[in-house]
Amino acid sequence: MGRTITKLVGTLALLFAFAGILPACIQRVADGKTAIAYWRTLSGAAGDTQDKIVAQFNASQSDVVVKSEYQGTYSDLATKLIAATAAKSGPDVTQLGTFEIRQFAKSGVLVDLTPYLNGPNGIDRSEWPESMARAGEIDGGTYWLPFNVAVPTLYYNKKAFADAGIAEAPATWSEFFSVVRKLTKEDRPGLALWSNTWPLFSMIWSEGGELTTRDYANITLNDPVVVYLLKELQNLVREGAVVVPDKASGGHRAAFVNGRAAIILDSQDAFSEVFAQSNGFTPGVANYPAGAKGKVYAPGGGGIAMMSITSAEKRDAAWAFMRYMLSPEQIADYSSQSGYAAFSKSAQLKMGKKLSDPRFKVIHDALPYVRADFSVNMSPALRSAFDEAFQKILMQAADVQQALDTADAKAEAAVKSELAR
Amino acid sequence: MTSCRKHREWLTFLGFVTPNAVLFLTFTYWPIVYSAWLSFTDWDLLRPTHETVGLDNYLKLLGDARFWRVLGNTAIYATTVVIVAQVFSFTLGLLLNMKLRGQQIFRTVAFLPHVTMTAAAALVWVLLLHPQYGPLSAVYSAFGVRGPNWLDSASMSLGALILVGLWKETAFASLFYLAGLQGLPQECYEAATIDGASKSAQVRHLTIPLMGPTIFFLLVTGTIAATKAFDTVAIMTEGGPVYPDTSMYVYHLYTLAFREYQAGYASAFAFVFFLVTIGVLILQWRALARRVHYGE
Repeated sequence: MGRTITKLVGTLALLFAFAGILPACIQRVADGKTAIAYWRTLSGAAGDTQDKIVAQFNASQSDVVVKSEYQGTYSDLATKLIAATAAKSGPDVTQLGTFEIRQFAKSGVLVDLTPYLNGPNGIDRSEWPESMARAGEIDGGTYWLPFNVAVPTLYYNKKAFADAGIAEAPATWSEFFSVVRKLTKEDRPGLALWSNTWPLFSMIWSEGGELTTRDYANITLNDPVVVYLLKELQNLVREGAVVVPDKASGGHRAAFVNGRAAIILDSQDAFSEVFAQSNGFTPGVANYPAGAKGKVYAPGGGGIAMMSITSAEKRDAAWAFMRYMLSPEQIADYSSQSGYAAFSKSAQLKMGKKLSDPRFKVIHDALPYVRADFSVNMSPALRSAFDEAFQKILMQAADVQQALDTADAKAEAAVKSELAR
Repeated sequence: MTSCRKHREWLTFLGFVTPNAVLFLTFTYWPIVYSAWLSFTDWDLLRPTHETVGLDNYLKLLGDARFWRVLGNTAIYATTVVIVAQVFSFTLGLLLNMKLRGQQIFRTVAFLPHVTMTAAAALVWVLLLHPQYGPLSAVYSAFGVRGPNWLDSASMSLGALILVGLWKETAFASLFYLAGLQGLPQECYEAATIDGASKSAQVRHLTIPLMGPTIFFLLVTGTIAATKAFDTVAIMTEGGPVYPDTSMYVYHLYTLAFREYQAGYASAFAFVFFLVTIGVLILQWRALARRVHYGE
């Protein structure tokens, strides 16, 4: 009896030990190559093309082998990275949304890429939009590089426009508000607004407003331009011209494709969904309108970063892979397949005739006006204060000035303690 | 008994108990202790180091309007779900205990909400409550009324969560009530019938007192389950539409830790919640335990 128990315990212990050691061995050496783990998000063409890039990279050389692993949405990926970091494990290279860049960089989770970018195997970023090249800079280091760049895109129902006698998409924000009113019918609002503040950034910046400086020294959630724009939107909600559909039942996109809204403000990420699912009408696409300061567009999407868990001897291999992903050929291919923006000039050249396709034209016409400043996204305190005010104003008809003053005061205090941490 | 045999018995005892004890200590008790300790730190969940901040997190929490808001919402949710579900499930239990043709089918259908995966059920409820395409909207349309935007509306979203909570809890509790009702001594009812007690009097004076232990058990477990509501919140509303005014405690706690990187503060939230739940359970115990009769 005693021996049987001893054997059983011994066997289990060995199994546990192997279970722990084996994956580590596999990760370190795969046919003598350096193994790199890459965690990614995005499904469909955007995900498949990343796997294709990984496969091409693996076939293109014999020193490094990358394994791509899908980790769910941006939010799922971030949660898994946090858990992996706490367990001192995780990938070597990861796709990363804009929300986590600052916190991850400041906590030492990401590697400063500056030496690699400026080294002999660096990347020429001079042909990227300047703000995109600087988007991942935190305290003088560069921790994140753009990869899947999304630009704001306006979708409209061509039939609704024709019925209302509107010939083309609005060119300015004031025109936009009047078009939304014109398109509104008893059973269909003019605009289904995203329950997320992202489209507002373009609106605010192009009208000359600001929410914060990049160093958070001057937070201005109650900027007069912000107050004016949110008052306009609140009035439109009151009039029944704007709705903010809940995410769980499909949000603004479902409202648009089902003909329950004539316009949505989204990104080019919605292209396939909008064109494949629009029911009973033909959708049109346009750039966001311009404001008093012309066109200023807040990009979205995500980028790639190297995790500091990557051992020193594997970092060159990880960088080789990142560099490959950001080569003009791969950016062009990724853009062609997934619809994300080819943000470097060489990549655009490689896309050739494809750029004249109306869908790609809209995306790339927006690129010169991109302002890649993720300051609001990167501060949880600022983001949540602004989100809360936005929701209270549009969903609870809160007094705009008061809600924004409260949010501003709250953000000032919370960001201060966030910076002190 | 020889000491050698005693020794062997001890070893056998330890052999059986140790694996379970190790797992419990590692995955249940250690996280509780670790979380309590983290609540005195400023850890952001990412840095390998953290500083001790004493009672700062607890003091901050008391002055945090978001804490009181989500605590209030959770109290409304838990109180409504637990109390109303007891009434519904007790009634359902009585109905399911009646001798009817096809009763097994009714019982299966009644218990289905509990065995359905919460995430799947929440998604189905999102569709059911959809203001334009949900089946409920057809009911409203039939009466010429426009259905409410349950999940879009700041005043209705908590109601939508309560509705789903009630649906699940009623199914769970009705099974216990049914089991309890089937175990009641029939001679008491026979004696009451001979004494001329009506059916409703039998329910009030016999069934409810005899079901005391079951009711008490379901109140306690229902309270614990309702206060921890997370999955329906995450899937149906993500704490919205006006976050955190329409959010719940555990979802907010998750947001603090994983979206706002305040693991130390979130741990203080968790620990206070643990104490509040224990406090509520003690109150329940003091108010009801003496009124519960366990037979004989």
